[in-house]
Amino acid sequence: MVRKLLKAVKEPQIILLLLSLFLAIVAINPKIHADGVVVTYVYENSSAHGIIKKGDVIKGVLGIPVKNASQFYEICKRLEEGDIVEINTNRGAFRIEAMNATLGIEVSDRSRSNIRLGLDFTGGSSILIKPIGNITENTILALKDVLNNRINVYGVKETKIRPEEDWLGNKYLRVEVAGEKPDKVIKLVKQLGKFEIKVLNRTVASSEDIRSVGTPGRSREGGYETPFVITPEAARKLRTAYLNAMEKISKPNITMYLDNKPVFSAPAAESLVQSWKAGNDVTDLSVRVNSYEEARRIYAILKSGALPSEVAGIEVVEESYIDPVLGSKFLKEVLLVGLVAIAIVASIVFLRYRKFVLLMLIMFTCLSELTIVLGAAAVIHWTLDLPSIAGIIAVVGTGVDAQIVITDETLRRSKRKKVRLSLKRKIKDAMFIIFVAAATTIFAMTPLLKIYYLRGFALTTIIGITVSVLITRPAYAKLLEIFIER
Amino acid sequence: MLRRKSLMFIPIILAVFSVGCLLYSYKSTEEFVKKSIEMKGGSIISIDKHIPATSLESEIEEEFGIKVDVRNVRKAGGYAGTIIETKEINVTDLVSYLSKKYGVAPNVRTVGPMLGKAFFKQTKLAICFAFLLMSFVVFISFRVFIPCIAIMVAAALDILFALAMMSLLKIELSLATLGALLMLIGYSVDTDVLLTSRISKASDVDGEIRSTFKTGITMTLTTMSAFTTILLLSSSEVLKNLATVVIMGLIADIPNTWILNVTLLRKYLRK
Repeated sequence: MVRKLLKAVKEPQIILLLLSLFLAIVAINPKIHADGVVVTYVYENSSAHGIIKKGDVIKGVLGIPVKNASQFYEICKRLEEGDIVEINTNRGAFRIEAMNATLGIEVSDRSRSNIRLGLDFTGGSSILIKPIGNITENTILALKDVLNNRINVYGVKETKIRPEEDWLGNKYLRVEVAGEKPDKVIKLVKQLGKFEIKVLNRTVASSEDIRSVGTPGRSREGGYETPFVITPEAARKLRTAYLNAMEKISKPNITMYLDNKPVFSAPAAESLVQSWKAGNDVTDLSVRVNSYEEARRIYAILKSGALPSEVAGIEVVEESYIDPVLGSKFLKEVLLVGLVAIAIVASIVFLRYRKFVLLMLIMFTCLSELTIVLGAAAVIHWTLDLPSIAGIIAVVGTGVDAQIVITDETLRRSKRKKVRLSLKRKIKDAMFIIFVAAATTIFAMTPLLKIYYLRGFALTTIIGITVSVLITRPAYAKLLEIFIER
Repeated sequence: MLRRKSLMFIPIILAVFSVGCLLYSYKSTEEFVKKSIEMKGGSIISIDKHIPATSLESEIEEEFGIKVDVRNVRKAGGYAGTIIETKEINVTDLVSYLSKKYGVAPNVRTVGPMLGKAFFKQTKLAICFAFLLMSFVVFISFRVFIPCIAIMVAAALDILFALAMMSLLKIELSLATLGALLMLIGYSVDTDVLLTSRISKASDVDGEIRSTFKTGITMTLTTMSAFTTILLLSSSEVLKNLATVVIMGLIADIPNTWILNVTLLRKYLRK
């Protein structure tokens, strides 16, 4: 047995398999300890801005080890304005000045490997929006940026926006937000549009007049606030408009409009009115509200910028919500069903051949195939959703089929010893069958790449079959040749 | 393997049965296979708790005045959950009502009618393209007319039978079952390619068919058992439907490969 194993590892096909297996495991990068949190967003006016970067791993705050995102936010809640906080990250330790109850950093939990699971398993919302108007590739990308800007504020967990296109030439944007309900996401997306600040129906500023927007946080006067800076010209307009309006009503409202709909309205604070009366055009303003949520909503509205001019409107054509608890339950179920299916297939293979060595070889090949496909998914950053998992099942299924063909072709030879020469030829014959079968499946799957919901299915099937035709099946044939030969 | 010509009646009956089923379904519902909400627009709400279908249906109709279709999902050893389908796009109120009354956190999927239509159009295109591309590969690989036609006929009949069983078992055409039908093209062609390539080179055709049958049937059995496991153990209706369609197609694949395709190949080789 040892001699055969030694012989096996010298064969190029098997070296290729082992190498791919090794690379796949490196790509998947399974971590047993995944402490710390990943930075998903740093607010522009946070003192962490430019120091802590998106993607950094925060391991500790104030010397307290951070295990997950909720613990991180728990620590932040206790911070006060001006506290100097030491943050330990994977790039070293930094000192950051805290704001009220926040560091101006949003984080999410770290994953245990590079395999990304889709919403089917993590839970969350996915909506598909169709911009109305004369939509080109560039419009879609511009719209994506604007949306990203808006939704990033809610980027407590991962938000993904990607363009989709179907066969019929329709262009869409897919927005996926982990752990959020769709109504919230839709509200955020749909509110996008023309932004204006008005006083008594007089427009004083639009999105171009917003110079910068600060982090939402606790206000010194109580409640929460979102600071922002406007251009001097807009500041002048606002002042005159407001003072004029005050001649008609005692406390006129300053109203923010998105798509001509009021989204926020409040009168100016007394201190602001005083400095206006003193003749100052105030450019540094802030919106004061009662909750942090609301402050963040204002931030999103101010930051959103304008819609690309070609977009006449936005229609939500599909929305789905997966409950996070149901999602993780479902993942466990899929894993269990997968294991049982493999066990049953293994027992059928064993009943058919009654050779333990063969069973081991087939199972080894199957598991290698699975690992390499997962590795490939990790390399191309593919998110594994339910259809992708179905694709992997299909690949492993056809994989077993192919190994049965190879086994039978090889075993047939040992029965008819006369045709000794033909062992290599038999395997070649088997390879022909497998190549043709693989090519038909790959071609059958190609159209599905265009239907985004099934893209995962098609992609994992195509990757899987390519991997098995080029790597695992030749290796299996070689292994068989070595282990069945006596 | 199966030599007597009289056995040809099995695949023929299967084909006639499939066409009959689909035509009957078309006559009574104007659809060959029922389209899922995904393909026509509406909402699907799934709950992982068993709520009796008929009572919930009338309850929702009374409370909200909308027509819904409620199903209970079964799983080995009991009920796995409840699925509510409706043509309505806006179901926020219904979802919050259900979560409050039954203490559940439902999964919700809503597809707009326009998108649904686009999905359906693409589904038809996908099946046609997949079939054409498959035929192309088969022709390039074997380059002989009759055996290639035999492979295509066998694959087409497998899919036809799977579609007929879908209409009979009231499994809807969804994105998942579309995936299953395409997967079926792959599985179906596997055994036919195996058979054709082995037999066309063999000197002892009968012996060759017998040993090929053994290989092919092992392949079909392993695949079938994997999908039966999914069908029995999974609580997801999506996976269950996908598995059922593949299993049905594989059942038809046995006579279509080992009787129909074998007979056609024999005829061709005798010439």
